[in-house]
Amino acid sequence: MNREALGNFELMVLLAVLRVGEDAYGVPIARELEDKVTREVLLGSVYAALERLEAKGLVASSLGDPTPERGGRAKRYFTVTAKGLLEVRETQRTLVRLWRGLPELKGGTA
Amino acid sequence: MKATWWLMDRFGVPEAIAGDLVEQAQRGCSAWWLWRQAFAAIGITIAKKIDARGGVIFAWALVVFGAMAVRGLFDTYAPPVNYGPRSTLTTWVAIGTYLAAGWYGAYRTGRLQSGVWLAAMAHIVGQTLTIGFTLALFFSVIQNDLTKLREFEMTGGFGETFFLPLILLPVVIVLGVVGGTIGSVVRRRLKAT
Repeated sequence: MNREALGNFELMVLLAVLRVGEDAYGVPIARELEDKVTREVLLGSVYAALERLEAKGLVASSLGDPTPERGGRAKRYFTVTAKGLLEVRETQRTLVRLWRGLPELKGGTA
Repeated sequence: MKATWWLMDRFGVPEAIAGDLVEQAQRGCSAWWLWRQAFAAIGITIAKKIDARGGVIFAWALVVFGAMAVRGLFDTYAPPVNYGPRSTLTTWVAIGTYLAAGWYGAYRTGRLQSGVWLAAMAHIVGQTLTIGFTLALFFSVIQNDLTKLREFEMTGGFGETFFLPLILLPVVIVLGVVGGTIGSVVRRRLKAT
């Protein structure tokens, strides 16, 4: 298996960053994930995934200004890079190809 | 709440995560939620440190393991008549190793915590390797030889093998603090000159 391949959680985080858009930092990304996967998400896990994605060049990050409501701590904003977008599209294509024509997945009850 | 922020700072949880948790706390999340999130963030931060510094930890663990393995081999194949000098020597080697690990960790990073952390991890990993080595030695050599079996039991047996490392952990942490303090002071002095 290619070490650069996207993990399941990484793919979800990448999609959440895309969905949140410009204001993508830890809290809204985690909230977006919680909305869609309907279970609690650990902020630490989200950041760990984001750091792996950044190491792969799929997201880029920048620090915002420290704010009082965050106890003087800065936000770290994330954006999906062009390579990241390409990777998401490629993963989607691969998954759709694998999905197509599977009788076990027809009907949507199992 | 204050304890949560203090713990996260001590363990080096990144500013962005800590800030996100402060923000959520301000919005009225439960204390239980906050603790869960904080402990997970601390756990992930520790795991990342181990991953990043695994080589250094393993190198110091090998020093601990090496000293313990040599002692185990001597006890098995050339047991001393008087265990006093052997115990004194191994105690001082252990003290020196943990002080040096604490010094090295703090000197390299400029943070006392890194020294304590390195000494403790070297102890945990080194002693885990030693337990494996002792078990291998016991089942391959010691249990088949009555004299060696008696010597093994006389020097503490499995009680010492399994429980002494746990009992010693607080002592190792203290040695890490001492070594780490020296390391960070030396680093500050050298930087100042």
